[in-house]
Amino acid sequence: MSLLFDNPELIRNARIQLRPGRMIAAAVICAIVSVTVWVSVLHASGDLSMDGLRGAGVVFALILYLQVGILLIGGGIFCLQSVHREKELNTFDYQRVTRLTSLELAAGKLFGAPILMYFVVLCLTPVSLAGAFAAHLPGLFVAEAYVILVLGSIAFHALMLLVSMLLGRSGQAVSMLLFLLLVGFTSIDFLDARSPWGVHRLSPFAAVDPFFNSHYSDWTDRFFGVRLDHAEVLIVLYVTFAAWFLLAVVRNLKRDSSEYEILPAAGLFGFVMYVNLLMLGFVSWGEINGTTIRQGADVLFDATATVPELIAMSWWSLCLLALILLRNREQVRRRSRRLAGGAANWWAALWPAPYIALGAAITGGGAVAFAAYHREPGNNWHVASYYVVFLVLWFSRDALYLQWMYLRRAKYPLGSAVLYLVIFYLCATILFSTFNFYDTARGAAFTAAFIPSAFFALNDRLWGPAMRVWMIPLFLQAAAALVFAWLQKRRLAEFVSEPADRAPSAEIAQSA
Amino acid sequence: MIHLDNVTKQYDLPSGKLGEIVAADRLTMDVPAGEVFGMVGPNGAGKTTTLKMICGLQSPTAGRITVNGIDVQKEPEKAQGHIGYLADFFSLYDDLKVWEYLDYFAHAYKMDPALIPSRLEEVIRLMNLESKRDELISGLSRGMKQRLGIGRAIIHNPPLLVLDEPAAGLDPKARVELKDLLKTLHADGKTIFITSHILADLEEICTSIAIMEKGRLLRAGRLEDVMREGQTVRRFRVKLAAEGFALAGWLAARPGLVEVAAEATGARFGFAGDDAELAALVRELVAAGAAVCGVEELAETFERLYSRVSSGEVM
Repeated sequence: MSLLFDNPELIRNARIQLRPGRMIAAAVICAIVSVTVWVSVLHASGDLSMDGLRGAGVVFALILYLQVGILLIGGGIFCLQSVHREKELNTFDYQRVTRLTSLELAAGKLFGAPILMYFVVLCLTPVSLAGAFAAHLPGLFVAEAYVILVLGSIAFHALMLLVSMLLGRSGQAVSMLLFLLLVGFTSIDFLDARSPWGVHRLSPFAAVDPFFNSHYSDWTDRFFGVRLDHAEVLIVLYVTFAAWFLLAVVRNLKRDSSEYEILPAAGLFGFVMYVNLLMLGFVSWGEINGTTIRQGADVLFDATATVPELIAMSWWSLCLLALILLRNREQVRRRSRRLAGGAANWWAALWPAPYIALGAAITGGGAVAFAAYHREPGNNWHVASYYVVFLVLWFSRDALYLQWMYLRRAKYPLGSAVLYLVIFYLCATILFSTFNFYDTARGAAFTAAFIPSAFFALNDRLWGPAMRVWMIPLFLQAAAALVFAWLQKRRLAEFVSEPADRAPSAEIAQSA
Repeated sequence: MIHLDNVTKQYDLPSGKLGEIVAADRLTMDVPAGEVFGMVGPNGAGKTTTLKMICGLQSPTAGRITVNGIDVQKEPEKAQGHIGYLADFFSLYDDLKVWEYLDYFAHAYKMDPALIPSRLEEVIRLMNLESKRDELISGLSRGMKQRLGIGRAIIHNPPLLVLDEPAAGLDPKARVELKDLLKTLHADGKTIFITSHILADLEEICTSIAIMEKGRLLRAGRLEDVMREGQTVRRFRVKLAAEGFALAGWLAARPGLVEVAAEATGARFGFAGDDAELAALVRELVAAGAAVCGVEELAETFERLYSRVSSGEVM
C-alpha cells in the first residue's frame, strides 16, 4: 500500500475536512485575502513591477508569511488533536485493531490532520508565485522558501503528533501553549538577539527572512566555526528532527499506552547527544565570554569560565533524558515477570544512571575539549576535568533518587519526587547563602556535596587552596548514589516477590 | 479459536487513587471456533480488560494469548486481521457518511480493493442500513450506530467477533434486532465473544459462558454444563386440583426434600433424587390423598445461577 496516496487514514481525513462546501469557502476566503494584499501593496508602493523587495516582492513575502503561520500553527494544532481526540472519543482503539501499520497510521495522521491547512496554503500559492514572478525574484530562492515552509511544518507537526500520542486526559491546553512558545522561541533570530548561539531563526518563519531583510545577503550560520548556508542548515535540522519524532511515534502508536517507550534507551541517548552536538556546534564563543573572538596568540577563553556555561546548556537535555528513561511501575512489573530475580540485581538497581553518567561525561568532556581547543594550554585543566567527574556523579545521584521514588505506590510518585528535590535544593541554597558558605574554599566544597551551585562558581580562588577538600563532595556524591541504588534494589525485590504474595487464583478456570 | 494461558493483568489505579488492580488473575481458558461465548461479571471484574488483551489493545503483565493460533503479543497485526472488535463505550466519525466509514475500515483491514464495493453493499444490507447508505453518521439513531459499529467489526469478514456490552443503551426493539443479528452471524460460522449485563439475552444466544469476578474465573464452560454444575438439587412444583390437603407439611416431613415452600394451589420443593425416586414420591403423595393435577420441574435460570455463584452460595 502506498504510504500516502492510498493511505486510508489520509483519505478519511480528506473526506471529513475537504467536503466541497468547505473547500469552496476556503478558496473564496483565500481569494479575498490575496486580492486585499495585492491591492494594499499596489496602493502603498504604487508600482508592482519594481524588482527585489519592493512592490510585488512584498506581496510574495506577505503571503508567504501568512502561509507559514497557517500551515505551521494551524496544522500543528490539528496534529496535536489528532490522536488525543481519537482517544477521547474512543475511536482510537478501532484504528489500533486494524491492519494498518504504525507507519501508515502515523503518515496518515501527519499529513491528514492538517490537510485543510495544506489546501489553504495551496490556494494562496498562485498569488505569492505571481508576486515572486512580477518582482523577478530568483526561482531558487522561492523554491528554497517553500521547501523550508513544508519541511519545517512537517518537523513541528511530527513533534505535535508525538505530544498528542503521549497526552493523557488533560494537558491539551498546556501543550498548545507550549507549542506556541516553542514556535515563538525558535522564531528568535539568535544572531540578531546577541544570544550565546550563532544561528539565525529556526522556525519556518525563517523562509521569509531573505526577502524581508536586505542584510541577509550573507544568510549563514557558524557551526564549529565553519560557515554554513542557513537554508541548508534548516533543511538538515528539519529532516533529522522530523525523523527522530516520527520514529518515536511509529514505534509507539499502536502500543498499549502503559507500555509507551518513546525511544529505546540507546536511541534516546543518541537523540540527546545529537541535540548537544548542535548546541555545542552553534555556540557563539564570543557571546559566552562576553568578549569578541580574537585571532592570534591571545587567550580567548578560560575553561573555568566557559565550561560551566556549556554544561548548563546541556543540563536541560540531560534532565529530559533522565525523565524519559525512568521506568514506571508497570514497566518494572513486566520486567519482573520476564526476568524474575534478574530484574532486581545491582545492574537493574543502577538504572538509569549508566546512560545519564555517559551522557554527562560526553557533554561535559565535549565542553572541556572544545573550550581547551579555543584557549592556550596549561590553564586550569584540572578544574575543567573535575567538572566532568562531578557532573557525572551529580546527575547519577539525582537520577537514581528519582527512579527510586518513582517506584513508590503513590498518587503522583514522580511529581512528588521532583517536588521534594526542588524543595531540597531551595532550602539548601537559602541556608548556605545565609551562613556565607560560598565565600570560603572549604565552605564552597562542603556545599557542593549537596547542590551544584558552588561547583558552577568554582574558580582558581576556591580551587587552589582546597583542592583536596573538593574531593570530598565527589565521594559523598558517589556514596549518595549508591544509597539510592540500594534503596531501588530493595524496591525492585518487592516487585519480583509480588505474585507469590497473592492468594492463588481460582482453580476453576477450564476449557469451555 | 481463543486460548488464554495463565494470563495476568495487573496495574495501578488511575492517578488520584492509591492502590493496584489485578484485572485478570492467571486466567486460563479456551474458546473453540463456532461458539458464542458470553462473559458476565460485575463492573470492574476484568471483562473489558480481558477483551482488550484478546484484541491486542492491552498487553498482559504475564501469560500468553493466541487467536486462531497466532500469538497476539508477538504478531498483533496478523492476529487482529482475524478479529472484529466493538467497544463498550464507542463513538463513530460523525462527519463521515455510512459507506465512507465502512470503506475506511475495509481499506484499513487491507481487504482486496476489488472486493470492497460488493462487501460494503453486503454489510450495509446485513445491517439493514440501505436507506442510510449516503447519510452522515451524525444523523443515525443509537441503534443504527450500534449496527454500523458491528458492521465495521465484520467488514473484513473475521472469524472472531469480540463485542463488549453491545446491548448497552439500546431500546427493546434494537436489542431484539441485535440478538437476531448475532444469531445470524453465529449461523454464518462466526465465533462470538461477548460481554453483557443482560443475562437473559446471554442465556438465549450463548453456547458457552464464563462468570468472572475480581479478575478470576468463577465458572467457565458450555452453558448447560455450567448450569448443571451449580445445581445440587432439582426444583419442582406440585399443583393440587383441590384444597384441603396440607401439602407443604407433608413434603417437609419427607426425608431428602429441601427448600419446601407452600403456594396458593400447591407447593415447591428441592429434590436430589432421580426420576424413578420422583415417581415414587408422587405415587406416595397420591396415595396419601392429595389431588395432584400437575408436577413440573422448575428450570434454573442463568440469572439465578449467576446470583448464587457471585454471592458465594455455590463454589
